[in-house]
Amino acid sequence: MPDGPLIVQSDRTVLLEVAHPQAESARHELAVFAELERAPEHVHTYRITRLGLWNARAAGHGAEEIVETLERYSKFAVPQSVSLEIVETIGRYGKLVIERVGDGPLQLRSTDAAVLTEISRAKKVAPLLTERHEDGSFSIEPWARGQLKQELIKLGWPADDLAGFTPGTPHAIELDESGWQLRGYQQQAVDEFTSHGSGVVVLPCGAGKTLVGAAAMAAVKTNTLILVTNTVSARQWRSELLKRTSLTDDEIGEYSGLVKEVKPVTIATYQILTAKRGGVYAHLELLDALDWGLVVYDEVHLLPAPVFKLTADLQARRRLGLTATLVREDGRESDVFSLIGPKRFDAPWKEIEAQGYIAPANCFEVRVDLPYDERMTYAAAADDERYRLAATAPAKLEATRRLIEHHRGERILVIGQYLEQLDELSRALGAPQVTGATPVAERERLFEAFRQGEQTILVVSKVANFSIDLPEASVAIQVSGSFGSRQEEAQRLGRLLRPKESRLSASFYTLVARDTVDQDFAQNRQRFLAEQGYSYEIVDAETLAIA
Amino acid sequence: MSESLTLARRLSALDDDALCALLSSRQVTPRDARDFFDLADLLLSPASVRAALRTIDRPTLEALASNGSFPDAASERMLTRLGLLVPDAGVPLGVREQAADALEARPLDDPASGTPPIIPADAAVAGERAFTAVSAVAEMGHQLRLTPAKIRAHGGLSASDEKRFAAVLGLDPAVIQPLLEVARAAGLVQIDADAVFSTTLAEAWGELSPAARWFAIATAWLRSLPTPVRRTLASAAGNSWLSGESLRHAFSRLYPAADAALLDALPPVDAVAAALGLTIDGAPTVFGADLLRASAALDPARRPGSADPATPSEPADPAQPAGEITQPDPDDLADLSTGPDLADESTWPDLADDVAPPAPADESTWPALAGAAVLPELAAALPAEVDRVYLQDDLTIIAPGPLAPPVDARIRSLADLENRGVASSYRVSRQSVDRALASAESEASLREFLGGISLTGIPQALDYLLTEGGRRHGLVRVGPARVEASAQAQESTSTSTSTSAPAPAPGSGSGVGSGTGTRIRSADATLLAALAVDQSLAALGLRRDEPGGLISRADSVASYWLLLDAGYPVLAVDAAGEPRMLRRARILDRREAPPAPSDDPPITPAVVELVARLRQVSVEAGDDEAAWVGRELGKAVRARTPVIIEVSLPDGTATRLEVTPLSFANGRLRCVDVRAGVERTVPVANILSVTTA
Repeated sequence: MPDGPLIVQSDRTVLLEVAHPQAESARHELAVFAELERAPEHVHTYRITRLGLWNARAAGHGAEEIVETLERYSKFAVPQSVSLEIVETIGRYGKLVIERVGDGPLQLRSTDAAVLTEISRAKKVAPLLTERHEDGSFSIEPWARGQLKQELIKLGWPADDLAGFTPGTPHAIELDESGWQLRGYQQQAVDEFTSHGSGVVVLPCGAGKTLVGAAAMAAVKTNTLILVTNTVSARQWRSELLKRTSLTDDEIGEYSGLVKEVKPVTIATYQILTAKRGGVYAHLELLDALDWGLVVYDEVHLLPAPVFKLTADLQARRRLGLTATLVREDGRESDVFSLIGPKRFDAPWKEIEAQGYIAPANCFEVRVDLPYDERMTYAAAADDERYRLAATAPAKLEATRRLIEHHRGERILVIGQYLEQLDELSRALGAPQVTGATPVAERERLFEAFRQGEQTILVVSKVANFSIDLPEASVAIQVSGSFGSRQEEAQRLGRLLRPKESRLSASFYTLVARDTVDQDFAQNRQRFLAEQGYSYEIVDAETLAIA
Repeated sequence: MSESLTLARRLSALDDDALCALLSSRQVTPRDARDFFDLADLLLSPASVRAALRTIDRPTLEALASNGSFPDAASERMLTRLGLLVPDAGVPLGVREQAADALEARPLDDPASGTPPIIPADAAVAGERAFTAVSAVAEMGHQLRLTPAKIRAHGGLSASDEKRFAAVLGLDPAVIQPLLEVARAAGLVQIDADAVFSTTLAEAWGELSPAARWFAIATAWLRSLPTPVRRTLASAAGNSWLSGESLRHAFSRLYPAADAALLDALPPVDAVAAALGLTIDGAPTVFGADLLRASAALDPARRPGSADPATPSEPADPAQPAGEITQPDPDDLADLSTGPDLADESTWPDLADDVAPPAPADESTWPALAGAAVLPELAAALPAEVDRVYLQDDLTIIAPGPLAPPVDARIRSLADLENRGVASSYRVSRQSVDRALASAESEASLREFLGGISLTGIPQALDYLLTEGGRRHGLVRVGPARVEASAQAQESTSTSTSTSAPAPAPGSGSGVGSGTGTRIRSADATLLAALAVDQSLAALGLRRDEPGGLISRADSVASYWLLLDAGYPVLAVDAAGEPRMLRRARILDRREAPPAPSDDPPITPAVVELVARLRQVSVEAGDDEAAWVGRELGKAVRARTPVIIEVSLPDGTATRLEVTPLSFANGRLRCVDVRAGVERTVPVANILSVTTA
């Protein structure tokens, strides 16, 4: 048994000792079939999941290869139960194949008659199959391609969809690489996607997912529908496409709550797609408005449930998912797998950071002492009031001031959860605020002023969490948050991970009221951030002036 | 002479101890026998004989059936003790017949017939299973130190605790009971009343090497098995561990008279064997072979072919299979020291320093370890232990391999276990640091310990937590206070909105009561003021006492846990203000593994009472032969069945008559002579014997 860098646990987690001489090569091979769960500085934790194994199988890796990898790098014997499960799980992928015979209907085939019989008797699968052929295969209802894949994966028999895609209406799109160049990992991601036609690319915040989308469009050269989280993000996509491709203003449309344009490249928000009027989706016609050859899903981990349902009907189109994490708070990872496609590319952010493409970040927790009166108010409060009192403690204002002073000259975001607190901070700091109530045009103006350095401090609410590119922000001061959500932390820190012209490393501060429930929630934040590999320090607010 | 009479005489001649032992072994109940004749009849009845023969091995059964020579003197003694063999009278006919029937029902066959070929399991997989068993047993001990587990009225772990353990251990719930049985056999856990607790022996066990830990629990469990099962296991060729159909077949072969209840006790043995890594999917492992080899070396008397020195009478109750924990006999608990009276708070019942320190981990504690030649082989099959860990920014402690138990135990005092496997992860939190500081650690000792075991130093965030914990530690001091009656009545001065007191913490003993309460002190006036208004402490009913103090009607143990759980830096002190340490659950004192259970069932008071009654009846009846004749005649009259009586004639000769008794009174038998067809009256004094016609 080699004294390798991996420890394979019977609960299917795999620990990687980072300092081990073989850690890098083990990490590369492990990433093929295991999901990275935690990456603190010394020991990383991966998890072997069914989806991870099927992703690996979809990429052409076999069970023997995977088990051999584990055995080669493992410090202790690989638990028998894990090896058996890998062989069994991998063996399930590809047993069922969806394909089209000539111009006929879609068919579901299998080399294993027993599997076909088993799944054809399942209550939710049977109605999706129409006719059984002599060779045992089934014809599929024309509309059921996506739904069938969803149901099959729930039964533990993921189908390999080889039915191909409609080409869509051709549209000339070229990358305009003047003054910049697609990075190696971005090109690799695009190649992996185009060779399969559907699937998900996982890249950390700031690693250039939009450019991967643009390059995929340039590779496919067809009418493209891009689905994004909100209007501001839609406009950033538009701006990037104009800057990085041959597309012109006339070729790009926005389909949102504000504008309804349908053009060869259309950027729509999830919100407008799922908006209902009279109980029915009011903008469904967008999906058939043009013969889309490619659908791009931005921030796949936030894809709303109704969009999955709509996506089930888009299985004939090429589909590209972009995300920083496959982990969904609602646990619907299998829907991403079956409806958008398997993971096609994944680059650990540490590698990208090592290449200098994203900025390093340091995290600090600042403990703020509550003065006597605030402490008594807090102690006497009911449980449901305590978090708000701790999170909005006025004592945090002085600590915020000190931090701003410490980072004078840098671009700083002050982030909070409670509007009254943001109002107060905005007034006290003399900085504009961006909240849900701020009109889109005003938001864009403030963000642009921030990017240009005309405005160095912004006080923002959670509207700034997602998909807003503020590349020069190097400091975030979080005064309050929504109970330590993992997703929120990732997004907020993502705002600071863009490459900086100034080459400054990013600083992420969280202000915490000492000896309160705020401190307990901070433990969750600390856990998540440190698990992502960021350094984490705890300091006292009164020492900030000295620091 | 009648066999019953012979046996009755033999029984009445036994001393009380021997008679009690026999009655217990043969499972005689008080209502079964009014006198020695009843008892003899009962013991010779086919059902009773069959039950007694269940655990008699084949060679001994063959000797019984043929009334021939016995394999050895020990067998003869054992059969005599059981009343299956009567000195100078041989084997009663009924016993011979039942033994012959049993042998006929299960004739000797080829040892391998009917069983699949034995293919040893992969050693690495066995090592994995053995490691899992050792770490699971250790984890059970840790969990029981936090919360004891409930035992159901009819034995076995409660369903909720079984689920709890399964979740914590990451194991199938079906494995929990077998592993708990192993831990109990080794004395690492102990049943007291209706709950299972960890013992001090578990700490000493934890100091052994991994191989020795496995060997200690495996040998203890093997030793706890009923003799027939042990002998069957030891009978396997090449020390190959038998299980499933192989074990059943070998058992039936060696014990042909075994009934379904005995055979049903074998699957639980299989379950434990699988949990310990003695078998994998029914296939024997090197661990099983090593265990049997070592056990044979330790106990030559148990080797196959050796005489069985004990009375093989277990399991006495088929409803209690070997793999299930049952309520202990009260006598078994007599040696347990469970600490001072919990209700007397002044003695601080849950203090760790009131619990005896663990026994040193040496071969005197586990005699099986002495010279166990298999340990190096076992050690090679188990993952090597580590004693250094990674400390990370996310406040996790990662042990990159099985952690040496002393290090593991100390880490657990300052961190919470998050994940257990070959490698383990723990998480430090403010609460866990507070807990460590409240249990005899100091900021400096924690820092020194962590610095010593860390492969990568102490991260700043963890260092901050230690500093912060050290700064806060002991700010709130909680100790017992006697509350004056008048003070108790002053509800109106309470600073809290609630006057209901919390229930005491598990294992803490008393709740509010007998005039005791809690005195809470702090040098931090702001903290004390916050305590006084804290809504989450309303159950304590805190009132201001004197400057720098609060008082509660709740007892100080309950107050301590409530304050600790609410995140306050609390320190328990005694009435004199000296720091003391509290535990969540009791730890029972045990210095060595329990002795192997006796094959003789315990003698109950009912059996002792029965023996006394039999003696009394015997004295009243006087001459046993006349009494026997009278008893037999009485039975025949009631049944109206012909019997043969032997009558002495005046000339000194005797004659045999077949008669149908009609009545029996005043020393005379009135009967019909079957051959002559006439009615006769015979003086009972002249009847020498009565036998069945």
